[in-house]
Amino acid sequence: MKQWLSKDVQAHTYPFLVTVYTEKIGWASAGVASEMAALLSESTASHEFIERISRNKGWDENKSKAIYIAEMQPDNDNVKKGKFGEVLHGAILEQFCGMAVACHRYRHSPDPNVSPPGLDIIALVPHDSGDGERIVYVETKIRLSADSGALVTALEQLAKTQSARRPPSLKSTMHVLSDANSPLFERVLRATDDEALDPHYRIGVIFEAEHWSDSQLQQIVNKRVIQLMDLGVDVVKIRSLGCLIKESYAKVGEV
Amino acid sequence: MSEMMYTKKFLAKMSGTWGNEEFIESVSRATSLSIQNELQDIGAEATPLDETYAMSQLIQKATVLSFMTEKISNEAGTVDGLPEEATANVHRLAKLWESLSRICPPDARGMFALNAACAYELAGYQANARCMARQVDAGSGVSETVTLQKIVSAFLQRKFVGMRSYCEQFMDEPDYEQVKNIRHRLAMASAADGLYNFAGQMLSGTSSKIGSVVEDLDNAANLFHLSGFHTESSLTYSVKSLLGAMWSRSTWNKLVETGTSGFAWNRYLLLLARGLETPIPVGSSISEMWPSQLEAVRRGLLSSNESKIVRMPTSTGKTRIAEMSILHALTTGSGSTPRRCVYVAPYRALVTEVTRSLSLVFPDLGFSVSGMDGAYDATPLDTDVNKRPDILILTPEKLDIISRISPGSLDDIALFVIDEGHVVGQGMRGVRIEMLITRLRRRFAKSRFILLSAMLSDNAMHKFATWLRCKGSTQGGDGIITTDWRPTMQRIAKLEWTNKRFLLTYEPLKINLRQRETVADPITVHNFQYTVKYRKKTRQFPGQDKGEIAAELAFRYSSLGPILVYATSPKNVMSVARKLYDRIRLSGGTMEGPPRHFQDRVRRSTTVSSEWFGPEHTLTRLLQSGIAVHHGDLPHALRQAIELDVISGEINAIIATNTLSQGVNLPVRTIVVHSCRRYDKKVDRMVRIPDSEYWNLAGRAGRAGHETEGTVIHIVMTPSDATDFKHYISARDKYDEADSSLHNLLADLVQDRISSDDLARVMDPEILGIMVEEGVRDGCESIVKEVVVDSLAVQGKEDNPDVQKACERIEHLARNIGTGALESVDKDMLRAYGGTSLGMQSCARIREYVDENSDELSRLFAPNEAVSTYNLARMIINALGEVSEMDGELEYDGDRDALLESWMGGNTVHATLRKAGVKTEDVESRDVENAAKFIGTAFGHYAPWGISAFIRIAVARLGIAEDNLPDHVKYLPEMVRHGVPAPEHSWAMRLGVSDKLAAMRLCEQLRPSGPLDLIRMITEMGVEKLIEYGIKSDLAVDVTWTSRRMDPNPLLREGHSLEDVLSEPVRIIGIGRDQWYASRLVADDNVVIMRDYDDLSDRNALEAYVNDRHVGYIERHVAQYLAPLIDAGMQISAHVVSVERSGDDTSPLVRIKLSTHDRHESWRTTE
Repeated sequence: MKQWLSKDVQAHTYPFLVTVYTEKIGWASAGVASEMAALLSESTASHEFIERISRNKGWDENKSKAIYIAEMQPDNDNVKKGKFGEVLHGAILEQFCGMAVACHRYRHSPDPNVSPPGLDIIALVPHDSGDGERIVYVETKIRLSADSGALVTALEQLAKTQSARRPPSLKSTMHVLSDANSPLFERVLRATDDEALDPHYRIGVIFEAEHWSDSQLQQIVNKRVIQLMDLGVDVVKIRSLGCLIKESYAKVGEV
Repeated sequence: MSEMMYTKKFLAKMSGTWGNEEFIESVSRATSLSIQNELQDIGAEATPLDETYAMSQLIQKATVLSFMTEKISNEAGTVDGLPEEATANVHRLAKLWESLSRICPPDARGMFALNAACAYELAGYQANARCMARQVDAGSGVSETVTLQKIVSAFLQRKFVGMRSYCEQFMDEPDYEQVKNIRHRLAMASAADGLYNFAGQMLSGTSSKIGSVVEDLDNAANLFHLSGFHTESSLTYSVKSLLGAMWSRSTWNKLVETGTSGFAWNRYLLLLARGLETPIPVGSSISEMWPSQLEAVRRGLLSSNESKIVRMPTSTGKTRIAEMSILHALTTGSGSTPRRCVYVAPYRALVTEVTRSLSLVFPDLGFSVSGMDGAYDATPLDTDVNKRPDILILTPEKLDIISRISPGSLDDIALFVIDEGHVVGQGMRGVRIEMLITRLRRRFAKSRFILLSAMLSDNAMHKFATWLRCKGSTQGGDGIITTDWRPTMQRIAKLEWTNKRFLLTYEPLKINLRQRETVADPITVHNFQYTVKYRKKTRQFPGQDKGEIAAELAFRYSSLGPILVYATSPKNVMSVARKLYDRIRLSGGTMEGPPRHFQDRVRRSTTVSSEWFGPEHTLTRLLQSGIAVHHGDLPHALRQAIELDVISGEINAIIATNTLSQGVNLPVRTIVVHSCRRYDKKVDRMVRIPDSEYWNLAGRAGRAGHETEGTVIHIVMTPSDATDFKHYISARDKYDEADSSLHNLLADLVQDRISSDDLARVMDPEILGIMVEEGVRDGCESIVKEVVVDSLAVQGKEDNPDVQKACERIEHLARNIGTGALESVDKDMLRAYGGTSLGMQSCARIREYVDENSDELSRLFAPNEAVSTYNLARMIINALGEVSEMDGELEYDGDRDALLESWMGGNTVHATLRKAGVKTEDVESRDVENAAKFIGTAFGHYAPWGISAFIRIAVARLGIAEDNLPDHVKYLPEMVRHGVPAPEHSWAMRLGVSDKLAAMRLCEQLRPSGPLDLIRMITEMGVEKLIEYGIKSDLAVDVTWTSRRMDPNPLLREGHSLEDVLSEPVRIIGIGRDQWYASRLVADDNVVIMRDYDDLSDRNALEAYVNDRHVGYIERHVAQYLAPLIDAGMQISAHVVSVERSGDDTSPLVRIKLSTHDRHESWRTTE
């Protein structure tokens, strides 16, 4: 991914950190679709788990498995798009910002009307001092066409989800990590202890390159909530984004 | 890594967080915000707090604390539950989540409430957990979509029976065509499976499935997480963490540890587990003991037979402690004769409450329960109808009289529970109660005594323990069981009123001995004053008047739950009530109108008030508007009706004196202290009410299971109010030294502050009682002295010269009375005297009257004599005029005879007053209240006592055998008490048919030959038949229930095994159309047995269906045996064995054979 995107930090332009990612080379040349297909595939529970639980309950395990596999391949474009954005943003945060993703909420329901209520991503980042951890709450938006309100929507959602979505996502994640003996668990604990810094908030806006406008950044400058947050915005500009999504999903089966 | 890899680390982290000042400051601000939020709910706008902290940070901290708590609890598993050192902090966490749930955005409210519920559950505050969980789902919307939140809410409310039907919706294999998210569906199925099985475990006591429950919930949490449903995942993890604690603290575990076992105990746990509320599916299971109850068990409540003093705050589960000790006594007797228990409750309302409470359990265990209130009157109803109930609940006066007239009937009492034991410090009544308990303690040296109180000091507890010989207990050490734990807390605030604003300043909330939770700052409320245009004038409410402020607070806070305004005199009570009435009328002129609970409607108390005072009387109008007043000048019947209305939620605002804080357990949401000084005759000035009374009152704020904390608002208008408030705050948690009234009497005696006559008046009946009980022929003084020396007042101070002097005076008195008695009357007459609870002189006066009127009385007392019961009552009441114990209470300014005649004619009080010429149309007149009060006191209390005493002496004097007394004489005291013309009417009223006309109508149709005959008829006929006879449905349920609790089920009483019960065919009882279907059944038809949870008169009803047609009910005793097992999960099947048809298909005799394939440890209870 590093050979595909270049990172440009614009630290002092706004009262929040802005990082712009642009393509150094075309995604096709960089083999991004295959990489994304792999990431999209590893995001969900294995079908063995589904089969085992179905079997234990005396249900038809083959039918359960068939439904599960079908769900892995959402046919709803919005669902596909949303999931792609979250996965890509997660990868960018890991590969460019030194963050570790503790929890993805993959927008994976085959029913477009049912959007699982949770944060998009919970990540961790070491302190600049190198001592301790900081927790990062992330909201991602992906747009193939012009949408001048995308960033505002993301900010509002991030602010709104503070009380309703963060607690269950954080607690559930901590349980899953600790039960799995994940090394990330200790990092989450450090990031939430009494001495830890306040959380960092991150918005990712992934846009078809030609439809992005910096005026969106100006729109959120005066929002009151900004004063209360340590906020960062990642702007990812990609050409032929729609094709990349399509091709990535097409390769999921191969993975 | 070790199994306890996180516990130590997380305990330290939790302590660190709760020791962080910045965090505590944030918590206290959240508390302030939540109180402001509550004020907004009642239409008061408070000044917003400066929100300088980051709420989101606080929420994150609470989340991490919850996570750590869950991990610790998971590691503790099912053996230990949550470590002790974590409990206090988890309780504070619960309170934090509760505050956050009130101030967070609406979409987070339910989740935060469930977080609070889980933390409360782990901290041991199950009632609070229930209360928070109810905010998510009160359980009314059966048809609503079932979600995990709804299932968990039911789980945390412990609606285990009802919850299982929610779970069943997800447990079957789905129609795969309809499944939209297989992971979510599987997650729901796993969670439902786990919770269903755990509910079954808590209902039946088997722990074999706990491993699979944990696995199910783990799978569910993972699947929810992986499918992005983090709220569900988090909730599942929370619930999983509760399992170990819930099971380790369950009744099944805790009571087994004490060695209690056997048929009755197993059934007891089954009954508690399915819950005592009706209908059962919406009621909460009692499957875990409160910390107060665990403490009692730890201190030897069930592992020894030694006496105990139990001091616990109100509403902390004392009744269950008594209940367990009763079962312990009933089941640990030696020999084949079952032992019996007596529960002494010093207030009539408390007798009713305790009888009702114990009747929810013991009849289903095969034990009979009977309640007996009233004074020293005694009729065969007391001794015959209540013949040897296993559990007898009664007032001290009733116990006293029974111990005198029928001492043998108490011979096998294994346990005496004495509730509100501090009453021994309350005036002359206290002296008599102390003497009674001392006499009982002497006589029943091997019986166990358990004395309950919320108001004894440490010192007093030790004195009581010595008095009741509790010392030397191997388990409890000093025989004392005490805890300050309580499920709800009281938040105390003072309200200062200045210039149309009020300032609420909250005292720190005591979490435990070391920790206090503070409200950040005083809260200023601006728009408290209500302005309305009324009759073309602008009216502002309240003004500067304290009564109006109290009324306004009552008006507003009543929308949050019941509110009690405390005032020290009936006059103040009525004044506040009238102002509240005005306030309601003012709101009636606006668009929104008064709140629902203040809208006019007929309530139980309105009906009673109408019967007593008339429909137009001020009291009736107040009650109709939802305003209850409660003070000592009101008749008992009305007070009781008001209490029932408050308990059932019919009335939300009560203005009362201390009558409400005494005895009956009637918690409310909010208490407003209007005044706290009352006139003291002794010092001729207004004095503060005792600290214990203030805090006993304040302790009633907060209803366990309804809210987690109650609010007490003390109105401060003057410097004197401020001083009083400060005084009470400083006296918090201090108990008054409980006085012994006998001790005070002896002190008065030594210092010559009491005359010999006054002393005789108090001690005389006691001395006679002792002579009868101890069978003294001569020289009673030494025994009387021994009793006094054994009393609470004297024990341990025998060598004190003052005490010795007092004892000598009493000894002297006893000698005089004893000698006088033995010289003047024979043995039989002495027994009659002793059975009256009157003094020697009073008995002698009655005897003289009997002698003077012996011919007339012989005629009136003769069988088959047509006698006007009114004339007989009038004659006796006239004769009682000079009996000093009647204390002038039978004297009336108006025409007493007219009142009595009308009263005994079966009229209501109001009609009685009208017929007796009282001007009932003057609704403000005190005459009506005075006359009604006279009827309540004279006819309801003193006259029955006097008549009963009179009959006893007359029978002895005239040489009539008691068995030959006609019913109109035997039951005359009851007839006067209830105001009915015939003995059978009084039997019906005693069984609970409180409506005179209904009682008379019922007896006219049934024509019972005696009270036992009436009980038998009512027990057999059931509710529907009673309603046909014109009894209102709720009354019919009560009456049926009363009669059935006196009739123990032999299958349970004799401890039959399940195999025994199933071995014989059982009858199906059909009603109406059932019989037509039943008559068409043939042998071998399959019968489906189902529980009927809607039958309010029989919680154990089992219905029988054949081919989906209702064919009747399983016979009552068998249903009573089987229903708790079926509620716990036992599957039962049945088929028809035989059908005997009558000619017209109306009453076929159908027998079926029941069987079960389950072999569960809990239902095989006799092995």
